[in-house]
Amino acid sequence: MKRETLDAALREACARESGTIPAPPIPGRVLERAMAAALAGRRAGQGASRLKAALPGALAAASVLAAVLALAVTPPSYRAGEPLATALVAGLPENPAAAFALFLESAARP
Amino acid sequence: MEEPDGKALRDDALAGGERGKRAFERLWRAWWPRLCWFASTWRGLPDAEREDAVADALVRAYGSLGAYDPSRPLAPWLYRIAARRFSDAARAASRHSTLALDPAGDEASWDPPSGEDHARELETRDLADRCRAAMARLPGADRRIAWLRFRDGLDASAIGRALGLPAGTVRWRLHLIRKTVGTAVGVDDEA
Repeated sequence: MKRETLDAALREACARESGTIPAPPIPGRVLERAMAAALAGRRAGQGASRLKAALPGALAAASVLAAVLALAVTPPSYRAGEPLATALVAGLPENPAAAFALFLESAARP
Repeated sequence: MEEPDGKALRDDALAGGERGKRAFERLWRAWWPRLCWFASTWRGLPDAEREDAVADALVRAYGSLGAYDPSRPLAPWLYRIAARRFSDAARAASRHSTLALDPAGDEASWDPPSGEDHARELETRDLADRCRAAMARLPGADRRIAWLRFRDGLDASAIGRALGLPAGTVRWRLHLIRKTVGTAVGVDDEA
């Protein structure tokens, strides 16, 4: 006989195997635990969503901080007599990674 | 048996309340029998603890449905959670029990066939009985693989994901399982 026959017999054997065990009613304490676990899962999910929502703000703050740090070390575009706020805004990088690179570059200068 | 849709299950569980309860009931009805048998393949898991371990696995799975990706099949994900739970329980158990199956345990549940296919039905039934007996003699790890392949129809990759095995290992074990069972029941494994 061929593999198909054997596979069909194995499938039949497994189907009959699972049919021998009926699912009992859900014990009350199990249902309570399941509901509590789902609630905890939902809260964890909401926490992750809030963190994700707060991330752009945190990145913007990091960007400003990095720009200030870069200017504090060696202000690349600051000229004496110019208002510092103008230089800060002009030197504000588009993203934190660029700001951080600028900061490192400035810090490395003698 | 009703196979719950993974996405609907997840949505209902996340909705909570009565919808959540009904979702857990669906999960329980469909998966309790399967996981109960699956748990029996861990020979270190005592009989007395098996049903608790199954209930615990279902509670864990239900509580983690928020992390389930509905674009992927539910079975490998759920079996993975259950396999971890059963492995932990078997390790924690101080004694080892033999969970041999009773090959004649469900004789009464088999309705006799009728009509001209009667002889063929009997032959199929007899072969399936002998396959069950041969499967019961396989090592636990092979019984798990056989169950996932022939009960749930999972392919080697999905079985590997569920049991934490490389797909190539699963394919090789399936080959050996067919060979062992085929020899035991008198069916040559010819691809």
